[in-house]
Amino acid sequence: MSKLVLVCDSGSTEKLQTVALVASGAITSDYEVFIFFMHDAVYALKKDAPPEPEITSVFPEVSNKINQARKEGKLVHWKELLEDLKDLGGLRIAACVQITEILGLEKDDLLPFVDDVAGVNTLAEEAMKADQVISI
Amino acid sequence: MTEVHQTLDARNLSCPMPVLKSKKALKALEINQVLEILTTDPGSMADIPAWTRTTGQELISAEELGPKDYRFLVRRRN
Repeated sequence: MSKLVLVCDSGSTEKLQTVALVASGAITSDYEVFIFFMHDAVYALKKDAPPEPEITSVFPEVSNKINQARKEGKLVHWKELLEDLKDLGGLRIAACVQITEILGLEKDDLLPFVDDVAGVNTLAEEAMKADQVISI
Repeated sequence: MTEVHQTLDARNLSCPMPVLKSKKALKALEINQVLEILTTDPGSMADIPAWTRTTGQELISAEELGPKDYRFLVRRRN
């Protein structure tokens, strides 16, 4: 089975959404996927994280249309998508241990689909075993 | 006429949900059984054939029945 590693180091709504969408394409294509969340992306994994900010494009029309589509439920939310992908198997999700500690969090404070709180050597090991590594 | 064993109504779902739901539905079928997939997402005309190619499933047909109205037949091969 081919393997893909995704690194997400931003908690911006666009980046989180992109990570989940790319993971979906890969999982449904029978890839094994490992996602490593770093920096403020870890904060977005908090069970009680505040609502995410709206998408802000340099083109106001794009922001308006995408945010409207999100409100109308036309775009699947990244958290729901990752939960759904978990059911298909082949998806492992880890949060950076250093940021988790800095934020005063423990694994139980993070969303249930987070499998591990791990360091960069776990990321390195997964990356060396992978066919593709994408940083988002 | 191909025998259909299950129908997935993925109409009004947008990318990537039609493929994700199709994957789950196909997994629940036996090998050689056929899944009918109904969609309204214009991307599905490219994405469902791509998904069958990358996963080794058989795309029996891909039809555009009307504007934003698509029907696919996929046979589970593995």
